[in-house]
Amino acid sequence: MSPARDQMAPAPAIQGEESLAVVDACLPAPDSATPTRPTAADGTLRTWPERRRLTALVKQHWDFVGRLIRHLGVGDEEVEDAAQQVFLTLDRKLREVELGRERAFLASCAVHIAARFRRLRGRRREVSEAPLWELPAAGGDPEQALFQQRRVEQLDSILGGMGDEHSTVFVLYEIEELTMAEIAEVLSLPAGTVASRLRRARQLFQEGLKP
Amino acid sequence: MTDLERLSSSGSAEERALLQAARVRRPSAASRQRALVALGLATTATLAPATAVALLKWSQGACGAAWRFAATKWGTGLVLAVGAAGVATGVATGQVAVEPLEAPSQPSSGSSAVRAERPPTASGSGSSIRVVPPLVDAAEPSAASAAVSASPPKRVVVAAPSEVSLIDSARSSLTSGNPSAALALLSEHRRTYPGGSLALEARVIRIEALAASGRLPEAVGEAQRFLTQHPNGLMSHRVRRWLDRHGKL
Repeated sequence: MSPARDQMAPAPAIQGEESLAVVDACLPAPDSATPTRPTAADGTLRTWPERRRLTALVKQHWDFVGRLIRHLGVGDEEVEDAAQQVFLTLDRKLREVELGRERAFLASCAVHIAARFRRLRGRRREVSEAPLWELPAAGGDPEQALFQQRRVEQLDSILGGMGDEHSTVFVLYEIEELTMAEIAEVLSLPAGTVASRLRRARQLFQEGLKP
Repeated sequence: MTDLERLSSSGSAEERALLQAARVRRPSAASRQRALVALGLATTATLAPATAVALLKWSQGACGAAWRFAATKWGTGLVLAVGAAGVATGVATGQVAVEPLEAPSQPSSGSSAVRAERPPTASGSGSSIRVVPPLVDAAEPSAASAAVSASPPKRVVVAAPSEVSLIDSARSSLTSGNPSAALALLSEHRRTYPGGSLALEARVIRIEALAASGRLPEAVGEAQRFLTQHPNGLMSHRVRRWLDRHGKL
């Protein structure tokens, strides 16, 4: 096995992942548009601008995807795995995703993958070994932090009682602040259906807050 | 389509507070870094930008100074290893000191080999912790390795190698064609950081290193065990494709 770090151009004919370690050793990406390296996701050649785009998207949207998946009912122990699968899908389809449409694409993937994880709940064996969530920033006040945590748990409980159809629309609109048009696109639903589900979800949310 | 006014602006105080609590929830930076690693977009899973800067400064400054200091004080008796940068850049902070190292009973003249030593553990003396130049096999001399004088060799004592440094060194050893060294470092990682946050990455590198050492059946067995224990996730995806490439899937 030979190091590939210094083989920048022309593009070597690496098919698939020649070596997991070699792929890692190729980074960070230089300023070059030459497609030289395979991705870690699907083995196809990826240009450096594409790698940079993917990196930026992970950094920009990781919180959004993780939070969305959690609010869509995936357990804490599986959120990271599900979020990774969302970005794996993005990696595979990166060239098909229009610039500026990435967030909607990620939301759509997250909804589908979260649904799959919910279906498989209890049948999966893998458990995350590392803590996932940042502690809420509550100005260092432990009482406030605890209060914040209870609010999150209360919201989880309410969302869990809504049913997937309503909670998905509610989360996308009220928490992640997608527009109704975006939600209609993400869920492939008519606008009227989105609006009616949102109204019903709000009723359920308000009922859930009653003592 | 006209959007309804959002509850975060039109709702009751309680509703707004609940939605606000949901929005500030976010996955840890470490989980994001693990995703970057799993996608092949980063080399280490826990290296925050600030840490990376600190490491860079350290490796360019303190570490270099330590080596220079040692080389000056004891002439050219030190042997520097190829992978030293891998370990050095993984050590974030710490004291740097130099102490004598027992002279080897059988000095290998002309050899550029560096012996890897066990990275420090918590059971050490409690003062300074030893860091070792990464293992470089005697059969794999490199341009960066240079045996220097016959004067008494010294041991450079710096901070403990972090989990990141061990994994980086293992990866470096593997990519530079020294899978035995990689395996030794991975074993050390397992002993020093059982259940560490890079445990999965370590196992994936181990699979590669086993195969590169000519221990393909063992590598395949390890890969299959990995998939049994971790059927999902990007690391599993990579292992599955590795098995597929070797016709074992």
